Amino acid sequence: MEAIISGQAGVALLLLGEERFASIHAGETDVLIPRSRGDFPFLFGGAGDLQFLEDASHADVIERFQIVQKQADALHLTLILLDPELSNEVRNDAADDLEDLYGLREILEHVECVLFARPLPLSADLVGALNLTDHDSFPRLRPFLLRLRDVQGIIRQVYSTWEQIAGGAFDAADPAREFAGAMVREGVFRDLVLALLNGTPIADVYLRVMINPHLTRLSNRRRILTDWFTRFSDLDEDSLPRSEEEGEERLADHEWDTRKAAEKRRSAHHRGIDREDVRSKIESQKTAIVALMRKSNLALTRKRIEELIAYQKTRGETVFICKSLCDLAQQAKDLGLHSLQLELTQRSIEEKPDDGWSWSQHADALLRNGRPREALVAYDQAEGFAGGVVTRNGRAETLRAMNRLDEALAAYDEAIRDFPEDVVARNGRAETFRAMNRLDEALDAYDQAIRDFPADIFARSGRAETLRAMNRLDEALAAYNEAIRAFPGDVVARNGRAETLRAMNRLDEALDAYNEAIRAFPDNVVARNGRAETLRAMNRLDEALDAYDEAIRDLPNSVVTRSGRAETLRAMNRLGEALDAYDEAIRDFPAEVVARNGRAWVLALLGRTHEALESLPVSFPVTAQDWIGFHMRGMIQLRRGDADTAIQTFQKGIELDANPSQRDFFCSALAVAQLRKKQYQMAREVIASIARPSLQVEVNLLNLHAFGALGDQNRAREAYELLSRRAPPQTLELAGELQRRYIFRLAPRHDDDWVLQAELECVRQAA
Amino acid sequence: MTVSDKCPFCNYDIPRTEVQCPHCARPSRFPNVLDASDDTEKQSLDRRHQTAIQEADVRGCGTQVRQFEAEAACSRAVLARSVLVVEQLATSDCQLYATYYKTIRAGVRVPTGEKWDKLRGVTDLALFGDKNKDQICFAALSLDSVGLDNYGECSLTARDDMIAHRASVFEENSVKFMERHKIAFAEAHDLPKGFRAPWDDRARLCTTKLAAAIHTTTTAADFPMLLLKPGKTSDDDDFVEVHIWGPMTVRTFERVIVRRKKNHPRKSILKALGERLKRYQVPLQVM
Repeated sequence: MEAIISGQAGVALLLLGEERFASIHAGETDVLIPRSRGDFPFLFGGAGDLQFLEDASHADVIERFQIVQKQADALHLTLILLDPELSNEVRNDAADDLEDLYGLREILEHVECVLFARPLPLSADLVGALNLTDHDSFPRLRPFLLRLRDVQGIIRQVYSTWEQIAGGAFDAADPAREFAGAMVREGVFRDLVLALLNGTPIADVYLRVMINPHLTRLSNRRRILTDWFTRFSDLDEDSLPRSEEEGEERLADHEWDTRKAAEKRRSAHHRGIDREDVRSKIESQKTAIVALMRKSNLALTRKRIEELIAYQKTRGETVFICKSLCDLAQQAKDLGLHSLQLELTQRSIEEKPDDGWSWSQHADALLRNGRPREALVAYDQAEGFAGGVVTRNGRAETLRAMNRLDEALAAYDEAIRDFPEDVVARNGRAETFRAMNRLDEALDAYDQAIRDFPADIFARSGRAETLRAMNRLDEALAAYNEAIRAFPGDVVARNGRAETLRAMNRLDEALDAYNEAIRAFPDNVVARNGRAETLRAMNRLDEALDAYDEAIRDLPNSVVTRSGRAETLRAMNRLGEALDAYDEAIRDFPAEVVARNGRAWVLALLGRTHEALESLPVSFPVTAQDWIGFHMRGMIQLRRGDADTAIQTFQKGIELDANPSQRDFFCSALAVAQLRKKQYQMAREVIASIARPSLQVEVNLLNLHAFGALGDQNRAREAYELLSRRAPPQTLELAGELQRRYIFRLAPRHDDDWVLQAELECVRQAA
Repeated sequence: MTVSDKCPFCNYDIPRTEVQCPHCARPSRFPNVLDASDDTEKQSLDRRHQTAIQEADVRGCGTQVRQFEAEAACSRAVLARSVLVVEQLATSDCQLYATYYKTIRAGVRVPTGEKWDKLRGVTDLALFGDKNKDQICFAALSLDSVGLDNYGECSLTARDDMIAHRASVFEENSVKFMERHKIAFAEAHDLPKGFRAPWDDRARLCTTKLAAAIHTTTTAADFPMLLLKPGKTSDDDDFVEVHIWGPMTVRTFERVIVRRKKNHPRKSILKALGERLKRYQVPLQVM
């Protein structure tokens, strides 16, 4: 018999024979109601999901009807879960039902077929849905929501290419909609998104679509699909089948090849080893190792790694061991365990010295561990073993970290020339321009990257960051807002937005933004640190400390968090505890310079300036972090009263630091030193040379001092007025003191030493 | 043969099926209401109505019939739909739902082939002309806001002020009427007169149809079942059909009643529906 089924209408109409009809209804599938054909519009009115079954038995119809009904419910419940206008109670109920429904693969796939066809509209609250669904209680639903979040960029790409095709391929809106509707129902959008996500051949998707019997009636489908699919890079039009028969043949061949490959893997080729079983065991061991890394149980982590290597040695080729080691190294890197990352990659190149990928990973680990020269050598090795674009980009990044910015730029240009489809090189090039303080060029480079790679979030975030560096904060905010709208699942843009609000001194909003980011991404250390830093900027130091403590407890492997906590203790004048906190951070992260520089400053505040200077590197600075240490040296020299030496240090930094974006930090510190020495005119000239837009607060403070001391009250007043519009809380007292002295001409409240220390603190915080 | 009217504004002839004057573009013409308001329809209905009242008086139940007519004047158009269709209606202005439901709906058609031919004519619904067949929504008159739940577990009661100007009534299921009277779809424009009326005249149509079923023992409590009687099969359903022209949204309705059967519809979906309807001050009642 034939039947028409609709999950939305909750009815199946059975065509029993000549003019004989009957219906089955949701909730009562055992009841058959005789119908006439006149009932059709009444039964299905308003429903858009009709399915037509042919040559089906009664049992088939009922089975199919029940599935279709669940599919319709699941789709609607998913939309309910994403609907921010509904109460949490309703959304929770929907989540509970979905957790059950998603136990059936067919249900989940149906929802994906629909939701993967369009980017989520702005009104979808995916973040809220994730907040309502923890992994323990929703082991099926939550991974689906995370996947939905993660594929939005790809969905956008697939949909936008479809829109471009549809605009030219159809004469009117209706045929375009009909074509698209069929594609959605048959899961073509979904298959394409998943192929792009997983890196599987798009040609396979094309073949399956071409022989799908439900799509054969669509006119011009070959031309339209070919045009659409060839927009995705790995597909070459000449390789596509010219007819359905050829397509069927090739699909059959492909499936045969796939079966044969699977059989081969399962064969006795490796002494009777079941490859699938081995692979599964390895993955399971790796998962356990990563769990140990998260808990920072490094002794046990290392033990398990040895066990894994031993296991793999008896069961596979060395290249798989290297793959495991590199995968684990990447995980260690993501968790901030840079030493472990280095160990793992070192082991990998020992296992297989001619593996280009291992060398590339090792180079990255060396860079993370502050050994850039060795990283360059390792990248050269990787290149020698056919490293590819990752090696090229890594090398360019290393050059940038070494402040060899012209060479970094040249390296990125080469990578772009040889790998034009690679977005990482484009972003790297833009970032290099930013490091060179060539901000307009950085902006252009990001704009180009966005045009060519609209689905790339990093280009958008990079652009917004550049606008922030140019002090075009409103535009930066707008750019971040747009990036968040386009990529609601991305945390980088959210953090960037929060940081921009902080730079605008909109601290309450910054706090809200960080809170939101943390709710959506509780494991993101940048958001956690940002929140704590914002609390510190608001002088809510106890809360800042609590926030850092919490972050350290949940995410123990971040040196930035540890340093942030120490810095907060310093701000609370709990200098002994601040020193202890820095000591701990250095012990756990010996390669990290951030903690060393912070510790040096605390020693200086404790009056232990000699010790502070001893703790800083004495070798010639190479990397950006080295130069920050050099800057700190000058600051400590100034703090202990040795202004002349400090001036020499700062002047060297200006002259020799190849990173132009750091030059201005030396200039501001030099100006402070010259003000201390009452060299007001020289200080004025140095201040005038500071171009960095993000140092405007410091520039205005120093100008207020310099002009005021030079007797130029008008310009001092001007500087004060500019300052008062955006001065963060911690500069207010200093600004007030300078105003008192130089504008109101009143007796100072604080002495000159106090002013010096306050100016130093201001400049140090900005650096 | 197409019936023509004169545009009340520019006075030119317009085919009855046009929803807007092609000459002066003045809108809001409802062909179903114009057909039902046709003079010959009115006269035929008047005659039948008069006959029905006279016969009721002779049987001694004129009072009951007049009472029924007074009640029928307060009847409502009730649509029966599934809960998911109602949910779509309630979310039609919400981009989140509209985005995805539009994509599913696009391009759904009855397949080609002999097996499906028996449904093709019905889906075309030539009653209202090929051009306007998609504009008509079907409902049933009801005195207790409960519709024909064999067509859907939700009964949606339309607001009078939202439909009065664009609704007409037909004495029974129009498709069955045509089948019974062996009227081909091609002749649908030429139906027997006196079996339809504009909305404001519905009470007279109801009386005309049902007067013969009212007796001296009939009370007001019997009126709802008299007006709308669901049968075991749709052939046995007896109701006065309402044709409402044009679009509907959640604001078109004043009440929704849901009959749950076993575990359908899901409580989670009903809760969401209830919350949404509350926003539009449309009460939801679950039975």
